[in-house]
Amino acid sequence: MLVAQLAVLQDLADAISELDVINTLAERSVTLQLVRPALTQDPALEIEQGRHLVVEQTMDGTFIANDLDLGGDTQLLIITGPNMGGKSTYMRQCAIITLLAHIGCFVPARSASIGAIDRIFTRIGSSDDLASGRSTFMVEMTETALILNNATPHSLVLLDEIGRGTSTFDGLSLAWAVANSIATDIHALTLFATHYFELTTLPENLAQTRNVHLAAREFGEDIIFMYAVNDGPASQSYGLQVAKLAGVPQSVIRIAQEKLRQLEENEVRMETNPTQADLFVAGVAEPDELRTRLQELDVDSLSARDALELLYELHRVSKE
Amino acid sequence: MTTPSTNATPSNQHTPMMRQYLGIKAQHPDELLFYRMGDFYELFYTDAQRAAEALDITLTARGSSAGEPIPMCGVPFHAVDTYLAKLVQQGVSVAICEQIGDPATSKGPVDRQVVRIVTPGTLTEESLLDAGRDNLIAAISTDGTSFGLATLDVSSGRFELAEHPTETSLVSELHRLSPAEIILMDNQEYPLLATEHAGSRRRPEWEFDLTSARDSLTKQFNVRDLAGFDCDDMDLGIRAAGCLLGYVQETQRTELPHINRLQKLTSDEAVHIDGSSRRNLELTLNIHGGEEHTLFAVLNKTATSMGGRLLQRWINRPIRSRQVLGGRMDAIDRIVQDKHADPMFACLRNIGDIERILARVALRSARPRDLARLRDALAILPELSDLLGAIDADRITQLAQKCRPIPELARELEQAVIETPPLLFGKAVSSNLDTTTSWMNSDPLVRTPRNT
Repeated sequence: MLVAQLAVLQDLADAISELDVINTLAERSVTLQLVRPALTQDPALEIEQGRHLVVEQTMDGTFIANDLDLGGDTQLLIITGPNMGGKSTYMRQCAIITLLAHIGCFVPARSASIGAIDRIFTRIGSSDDLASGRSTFMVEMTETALILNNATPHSLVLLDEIGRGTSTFDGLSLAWAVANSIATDIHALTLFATHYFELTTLPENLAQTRNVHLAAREFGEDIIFMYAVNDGPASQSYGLQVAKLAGVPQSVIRIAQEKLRQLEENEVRMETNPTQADLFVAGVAEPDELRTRLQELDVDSLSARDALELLYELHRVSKE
Repeated sequence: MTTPSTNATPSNQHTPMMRQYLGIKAQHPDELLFYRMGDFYELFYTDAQRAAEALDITLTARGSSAGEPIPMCGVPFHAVDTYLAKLVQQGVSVAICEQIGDPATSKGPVDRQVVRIVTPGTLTEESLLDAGRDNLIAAISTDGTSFGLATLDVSSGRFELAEHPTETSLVSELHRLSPAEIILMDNQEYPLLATEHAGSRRRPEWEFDLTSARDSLTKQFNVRDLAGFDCDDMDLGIRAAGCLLGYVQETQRTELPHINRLQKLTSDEAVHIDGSSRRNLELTLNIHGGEEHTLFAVLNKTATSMGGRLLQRWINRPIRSRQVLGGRMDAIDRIVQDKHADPMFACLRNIGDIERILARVALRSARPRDLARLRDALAILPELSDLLGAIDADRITQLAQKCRPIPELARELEQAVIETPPLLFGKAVSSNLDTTTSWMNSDPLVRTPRNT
């Protein structure tokens, strides 16, 4: 008799499982203060006062809620702000709210309108893939390639610190090109967190991109994170203040401050000199040994033989 | 692989019992053979050495056969689940060989037969399964460019198939499903998979044959063709599904009546999230691989473990259908507005993991407590129906139709199963439940061997 009714009983088990889940999500929406999102067909995400459901549970203080308005005029947000300032949490909460809406769950926000999303891509974090022996940068680029090759205008893309795993030049160039390609060719809804301030000039040329930043305030040498997302680019990175907060010894912070001052002065000097417009050559040029020796040379006093020997030596030095 | 050292010895120099053992072992070279002798399952030769190490039990010797001592170890039958659990966790499969003849009337060794093969991906015993997770086995076919993927949860009967144009999308899907066991085709390259899933096993290409796959699937579902499952044209998927069904039949060695439908998964119905994004967002596992501080951990307050597993599937596979999502949200809205959540929870909490219980009923390995929990679940249905009737939402109404009370069956179980039965069959089931008597057995692993 039991086996004869197996199909009916299996349907019963399926139905009870689903009732259990729906009922749980109902209880959760009350307890965790979730709201019903509007579901739309456009590729757009509008979130008012969104929160990160998991982070919110684990912290002591009040979670700072933030808005998101993506789609329509703005397809790509450049997010700047200090490390630890909440960029990653903000990006993740936007993805999780989008995901929750797509399982039929209410979302942690004051209100939300969630468009039809086909894929969610993230490129966050920088842990080496130890199991397969790939380097940080290789993992980063593999994931970036996956995004560039598969994202559509209906995809939600989170990119955090693209290019960090390689040299400044390479990294910035790649980050610039990736942001450009997403904004002009792929048109995916994108949150693009970066520490390259150069990228904050993108909106000057690409109308579909916009700058936002995670705010922080300086109190002398200290920093207070506001965790609030504001319009416009961040004014500075507060790297030294974050380092101090993390417990880097005061003596090291002092040396860093001194170096930073030198670099900034150098940069200002180079910016005023149009033939050296390269922003990224930070550091004082090494005096050139060959030039120095040539300048100091008394050419008239050299014998033909000495001149030849010197020529050989300078040639050798130039190859070092 | 585990050939006894006596392989070269002519078989007539062995004792009759060892001849029987070696004959059965030859058919199960890859599994550990648990050979039933009275109250113990015994292992011999290299099986004994492997098991002694894996289970940390004493390796002894049993006399000698063909002039050589036989390495041996054993586990008591009543504690076998503990040992099986340890072995499947290590990815080891076990062939259970029972005495099926009557020792009193047998001449020579009593008849024995392998009644079931326990593998990591085909478990159904409550003691061997994690209640919080699906336990899947997957088979993957390929024509060299595209891939067919079939997955089966033997402990629920959920059977799904899909096709993937690239290995990247296949790997991403496997990351979502994280099967306990994967079957691959012999002589085929799976470069990306190889690094991700070392514990896979290979089966010969003919087991993926399209014609026999169609035959065995239509026979299993008792249908003329697979058009009813909307997958008749998915050759690669069907080849994987056919191989998978054959493998599971071979391990279970009994009818599988709970596997009665095939679900096609198409890529345009889901919101795709690749493996690394899944990790980054900490959906069901956190960045360190643990389960705490994840989205699932925050949401999972389900009353039943089958509900918990479904929630996990929902989180792992968000969907795009506005209609289905709207239906769920309407239902949540009504429950919140009218404050149904607490009484619903109180009611649902009385229902055990009937999804897995039903799989054991189908496989004829249900235990008395399974029947008691099924009885309790059926007894609560009238109350549940009343609750559901008061919730004015389409999706709830649809689900309520599947939760209608089944009074005859409820009454029959009421009468047949004593209030709190012991773990194993014995006096737990009164004799008037005719159809259940066939599963009454003092031995949890004994099943009626399939007549072939």
